[in-house]
Amino acid sequence: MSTQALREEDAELHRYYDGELDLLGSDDAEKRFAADEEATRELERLERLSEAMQLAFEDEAAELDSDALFAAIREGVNRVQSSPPPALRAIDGGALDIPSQPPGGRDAESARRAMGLTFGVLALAAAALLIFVVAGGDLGVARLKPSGKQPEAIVEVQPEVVVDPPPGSEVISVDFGESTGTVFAVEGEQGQPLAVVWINDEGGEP
Amino acid sequence: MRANRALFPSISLLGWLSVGLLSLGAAPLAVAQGSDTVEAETLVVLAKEEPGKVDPELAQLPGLRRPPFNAYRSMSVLTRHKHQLAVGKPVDIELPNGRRLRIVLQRELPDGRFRVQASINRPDHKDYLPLLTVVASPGDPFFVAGQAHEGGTLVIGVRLGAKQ
Repeated sequence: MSTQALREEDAELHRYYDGELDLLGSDDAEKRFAADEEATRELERLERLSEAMQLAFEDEAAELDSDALFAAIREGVNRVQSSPPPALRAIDGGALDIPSQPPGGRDAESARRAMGLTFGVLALAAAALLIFVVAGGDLGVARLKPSGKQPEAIVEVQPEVVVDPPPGSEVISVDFGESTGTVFAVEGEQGQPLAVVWINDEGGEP
Repeated sequence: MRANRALFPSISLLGWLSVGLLSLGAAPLAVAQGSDTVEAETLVVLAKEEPGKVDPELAQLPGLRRPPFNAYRSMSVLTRHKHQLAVGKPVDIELPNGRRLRIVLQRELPDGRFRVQASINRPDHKDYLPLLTVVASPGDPFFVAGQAHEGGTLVIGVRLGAKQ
């Protein structure tokens, strides 16, 4: 017999011993194992092992004082419940001390001021250049001339958005009352769902 | 078996009806823009399992040969109604089985679809049970089916407005 077959037979024997086979399987296995000397010996070995373990557990349990064990557990629970909660400790959050001087000292502060001034000057220059360009190069004083007409208001016309309704029909609610029925959908010509309410008409015609 | 068939109606029939309702173009239905009314059409069809004639209005529909929902082999248009639906005002349609179908246009939604409530009165009763609430795009029908009549099944198609 191959190794695989041996393993399977061994597994079946253990399942039989543990009562994990169904009724038919168990009957069939029992007959086969009864006719097999090796299987019979294995089953007897398992029986002896089981009895030995049972005895060992019983001996151990006999020495155990369950009352004392539960008393100790109860005492421990009471001790935990009666003891006051630990006091909260103030933890230093490590508030930052704002330095009187910025990082880098006086030199860094001066450098930052110089940089700010530089950007400001550049911004003013850019604005002046823009005005020069817009005015077409004429740096003269701009004079406002009344145009005689109201400035036009430019209104951007939003394109009309047309939303097509979802195709088909659907049942929102149904009440069959004393009758029974069902709700389903059939496919329309364009594949849209069309609601169908089917009433199982018990009443028939009047 | 019959009960099962009732639960699984001819999808092809309903496909036919949908195309039929969409293609019936003698007078295209129109939505009165800016008003609270919409033109609606209601088609009442009798579908039977026995072999028979299919109304020419419904014949040109691709679902005819679509299995397995080809149980109904004969279809006839019993009635066709055109009416104006005003918001909140019910319209009653007499059905061949003596009942009445009530349709109420609840409102037109911002997306252009219509919210409609339909109900059918119980036999020998005047009150209407709110059967269903449907949202339908213009020109796309919804169907109420299943009532027995003359050995067949009534299939009611309702269409509001017209496709753009």
